[in-house]
Amino acid sequence: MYVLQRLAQRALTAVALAATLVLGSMLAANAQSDENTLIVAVSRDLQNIDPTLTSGNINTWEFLTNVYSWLIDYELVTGDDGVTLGDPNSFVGGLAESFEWSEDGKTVTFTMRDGLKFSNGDPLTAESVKFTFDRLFDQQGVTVGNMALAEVPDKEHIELIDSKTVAIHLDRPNSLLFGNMAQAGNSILNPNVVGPYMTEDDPSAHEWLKSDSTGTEQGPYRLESRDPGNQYVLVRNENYFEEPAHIERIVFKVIPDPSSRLAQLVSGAVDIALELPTFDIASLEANSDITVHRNTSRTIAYIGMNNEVAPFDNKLVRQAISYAVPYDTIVNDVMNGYAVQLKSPIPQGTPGHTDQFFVYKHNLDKARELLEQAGLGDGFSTVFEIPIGNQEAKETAVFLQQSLREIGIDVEIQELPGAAYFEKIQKHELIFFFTNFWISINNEPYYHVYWKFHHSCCNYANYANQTVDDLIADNTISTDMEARDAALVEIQRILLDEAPWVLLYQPQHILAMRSNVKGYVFYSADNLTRYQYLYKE
Amino acid sequence: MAAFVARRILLLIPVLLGVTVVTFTLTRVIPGNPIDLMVSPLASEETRERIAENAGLNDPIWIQYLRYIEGVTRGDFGDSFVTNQPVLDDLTSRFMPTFELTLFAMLLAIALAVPLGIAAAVWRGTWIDHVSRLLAVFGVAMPVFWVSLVAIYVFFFLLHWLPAPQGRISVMIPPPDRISGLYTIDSLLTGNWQALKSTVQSLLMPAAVLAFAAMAPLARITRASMIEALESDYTRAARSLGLPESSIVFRHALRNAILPLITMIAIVYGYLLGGVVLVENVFAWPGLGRYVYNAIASSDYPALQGFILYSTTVYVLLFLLVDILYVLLDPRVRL
Repeated sequence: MYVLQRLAQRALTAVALAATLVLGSMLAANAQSDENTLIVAVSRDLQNIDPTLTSGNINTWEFLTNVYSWLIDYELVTGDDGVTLGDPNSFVGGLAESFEWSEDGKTVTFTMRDGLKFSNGDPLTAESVKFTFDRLFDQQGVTVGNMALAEVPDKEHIELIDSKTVAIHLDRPNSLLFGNMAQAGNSILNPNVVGPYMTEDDPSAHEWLKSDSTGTEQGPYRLESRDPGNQYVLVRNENYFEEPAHIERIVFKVIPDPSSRLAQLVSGAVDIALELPTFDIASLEANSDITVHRNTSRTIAYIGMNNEVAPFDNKLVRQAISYAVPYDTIVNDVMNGYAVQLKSPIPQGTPGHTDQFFVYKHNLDKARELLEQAGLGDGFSTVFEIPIGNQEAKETAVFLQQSLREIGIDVEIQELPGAAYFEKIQKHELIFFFTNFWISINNEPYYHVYWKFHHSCCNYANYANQTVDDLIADNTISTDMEARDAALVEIQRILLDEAPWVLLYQPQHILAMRSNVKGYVFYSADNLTRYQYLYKE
Repeated sequence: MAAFVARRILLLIPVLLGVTVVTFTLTRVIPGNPIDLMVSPLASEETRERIAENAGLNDPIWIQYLRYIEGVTRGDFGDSFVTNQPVLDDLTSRFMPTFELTLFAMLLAIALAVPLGIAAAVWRGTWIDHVSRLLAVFGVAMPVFWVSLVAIYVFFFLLHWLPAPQGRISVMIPPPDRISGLYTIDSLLTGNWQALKSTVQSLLMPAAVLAFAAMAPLARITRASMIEALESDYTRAARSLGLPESSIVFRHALRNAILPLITMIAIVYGYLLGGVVLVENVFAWPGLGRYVYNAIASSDYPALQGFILYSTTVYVLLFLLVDILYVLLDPRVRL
């Protein structure tokens, strides 16, 4: 018995030793990616990838932009500084080799490139274009709204001329169409692949398209595999019509925790990390292993005040708050300097933007005076609503709370869960709130003011002013450029005086990558990365 | 025995029905409309309306409930609003990663906690007892996500001993052919040593972090029940008969102390299923924890309900297993 126990003890010791050795041999830094593979750390998985009915999720848009192409695309321009950018206001042929406007501006005719192919080898012709737009209008998804805004109301306005030519007819000439078309919603689909999934119950094949794209891609990459919740992998599309992508495979790894994404970028375990907190960017910029690309984005961050609800229905109150906000502190301490102050509801970078009417600066005396005039000299209490988990919102809220306390306004900060926040903002039920998600994908000033101040959809602050309304209605669809420009100045003058929003900032779009990854091109139209240009040294 | 098991499994039905009623009501009382997260803000009112209609969100709640129950009986848990996949597929594909992680965490916790608890009981009041108590306090007091971050910082970032927290296996290594769905087992069975190495490396940190949190209660309960056993009459009798101390501790006392330990293991395993939410987020582990975390954040009703049904089932089955183990281990218990 005793002998047995001694034996057992020895055996145990041996096992423990062996286990230690095995574990020890496994402790070694692991292999990194090679030059044909790019590993990108993203915060979340793809959602619905049906191009015409997708959500606002950045990854999903970026995915669609890299696997699909459109008839026309943004022109690449090289500036004086030698930096190449995607110009949001200049369009060239994409899948279409060329396009031609009719004299009356009511018809644009596209000539397709020769020998276009989908990723599965099927030919891509004008028939595919017609198929795509028929489906788009039949489905009545999100993209339809933008086509209709550009005066293309239904599929009868898309004319198939021959297998190389297709024309789009507009009811009234306007300058919105191309900007509305150069995005993933207008991805040309493969009828041979999508067609068979169209059923009586699901005439737009949404059930298939929402989770797959295999064989219908025609962009620089195609979907290789998806491991839900874990990663999705793109591989170079050899049938792409332009210069093939440099990097063969891109692994998008879902890493939800921002500090983990940062640590993995710094250590070289990933090549690119998306959505890093601005707080950490300065340390990355000092790191010679990392390149940080910073570009001013047209994304707007502002505080909405519901113009129909007291006391925010009073212009003086809105102005007072606009004077109370510590703009510099927010740009420097919340955004750590990675933002520019927003000085008009039309952001810098959009044609027609002017900051000449921006008078607001942090001035508490002026703010008190205005509150006094509004009959609220004793202040009031209110609730500031922000989306949960949004660091920028939270820090802005704290600075806002402090400043408003100085002028007698008691602010309670309320964090709303994502779904609740979006429900309330869509229904225009938020009263006093932070928002920083909007970017107008068409860099056309009237597209921007139309959605933000005219259409019921996105006028979250319920701003109503007959003059502004009329100016937008009269000029959105118009080719009288002089009148449009003049009206735009007037719109900005009124908006800044009436202060429906407290203008905060335009964040920089920041993309951090390993220094050996080169070739990045910034597209200010949508901030989305075109991975085809990237290569490794 | 068979009758007992059958009865217990039948009992699952009313339990699960009750759970569905509660979760169904709760998820719909919480504010937040999933449609607004599903489509772009530019979508027209009609588009929204149509999507809501298709998702059945416009019907009265009791109709929605009945439809849900009817689906569940057919194995249809609905489609997740976020992933757009059937919830059942989502849950099955994410079950194995979580199971593998919690299984190894549990084994690790038991392997460390039981000897520690025994030692603390045998050498009560000595340094080893104090160390065990200290470890237990730390394990309970330290938030698990914090321990995770520190572990990543030290073992990955500073020392480069362990790979980047990128989930179950290195991005550059293809996963082993699927047999069981557990990467460790599958790579062993297929002799895929490269995958095995990467899998074990990836498992080590998250499993150790979870084990650290789980071992505290196990070590304490082992100690307590060992002390009780060691002070009992039968131990005194054994001692007076001159049995060697090791035989008293391992053959007699431990056998008696093991029953409360098994109950505790089941409870701790249930707790691990909760703790795994945070750990999976930090380690980018593609499991159920992260799935439910996202589901909560985006009001993904079908996914949430599916997950709660699943975890309820796991709980009930786990305790059924404990009861069966009791019968097998304790001759005094008869069914």
